[in-house]
Amino acid sequence: MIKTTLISLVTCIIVCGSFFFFTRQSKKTVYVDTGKLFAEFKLSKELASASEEVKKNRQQQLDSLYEKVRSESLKAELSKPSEESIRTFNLLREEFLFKQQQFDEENKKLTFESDKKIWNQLNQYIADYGEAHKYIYVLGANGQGNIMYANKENNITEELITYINSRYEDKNIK
Amino acid sequence: MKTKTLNRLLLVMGLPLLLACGKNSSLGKEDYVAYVNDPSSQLVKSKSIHGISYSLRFQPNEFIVLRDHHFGSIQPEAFSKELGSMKGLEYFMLSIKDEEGSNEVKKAIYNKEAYGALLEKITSAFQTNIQLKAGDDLIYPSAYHAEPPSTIRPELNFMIMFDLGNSVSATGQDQQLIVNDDIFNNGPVKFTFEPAVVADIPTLNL
Repeated sequence: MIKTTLISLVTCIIVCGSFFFFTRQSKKTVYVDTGKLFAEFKLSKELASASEEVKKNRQQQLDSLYEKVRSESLKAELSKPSEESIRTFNLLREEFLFKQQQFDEENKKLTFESDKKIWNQLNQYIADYGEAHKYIYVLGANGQGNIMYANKENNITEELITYINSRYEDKNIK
Repeated sequence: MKTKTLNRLLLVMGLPLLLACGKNSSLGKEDYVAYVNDPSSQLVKSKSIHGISYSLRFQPNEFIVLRDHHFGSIQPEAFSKELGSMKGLEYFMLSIKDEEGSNEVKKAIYNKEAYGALLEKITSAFQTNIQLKAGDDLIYPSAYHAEPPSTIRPELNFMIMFDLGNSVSATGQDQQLIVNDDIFNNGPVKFTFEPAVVADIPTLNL
């Protein structure tokens, strides 16, 4: 009788232990929607707004230059252009093309630097969050097929958005 | 008997709590300086991003007056006069250094060209990268001093002073110091001090 009870007890402990072990293990791999995380990060919004302002300003400069080029071109079409006006047109066109290329490169650099700043902070906060919650893996789902299927229960995107913004602002965000 | 035991238990549990609450209300000079310098104090805020560690320490004006007198003796009248002249001023110490395993600051020291650029950056332009958001106001430093890194001490240290003047909007609001780090390209790094932090600073008993 005692032997049977003992065996039942040991079996019960093993079953329960295995259940908790495997349940805990499965919770240690979670995933986040990286696109949403990036877009909802306050720093991304702040930098996007600042970059937009710079790019808009550059575009206005380009538009203004383009208008000057177009105006010189129209003048040349209407009457026989003088050498002076051809020279002005060529100079303006060159300036326009140079500025267009320069702004294009600077805009790319601005985007690259902004993204670097965002990912430097994002990666740090994700690592801290993962460590605090003792996750083995935090996978990034970006909708391009690197995670083909994941149970929605393991999606921590919303919690992580709150956490990263709170860490960035250094205060609790509700 | 039961009530007596319960009273004793409450006394044992409550006494340390009472002592702890009263501990910081008033401190002598040495204890006050130790409190401000304590790295675990609520006056210190730290962040680590991408191998770089940022630490910001709020320095109360009482501490600044003591520091100006090399933490030596000062008459209470002279102390009060100096403290009164500092109304509206706030002082912070910012430290930027490598985390264990990262050599970003060290790399800049050992590269002559990078070190020159770093010195130029921190001694002037970086000042505009620091702001204090107090209520609705965004304030730039009124005084700024940068200490360059060395091989012995590979870290950047900054003394920053803000003049809040008679800013009404700053009263009772969070204060957020923003450091836009374009040296190590980590972007804006923010430190928030709640009003309770300043309110909880113990008074100095000279």
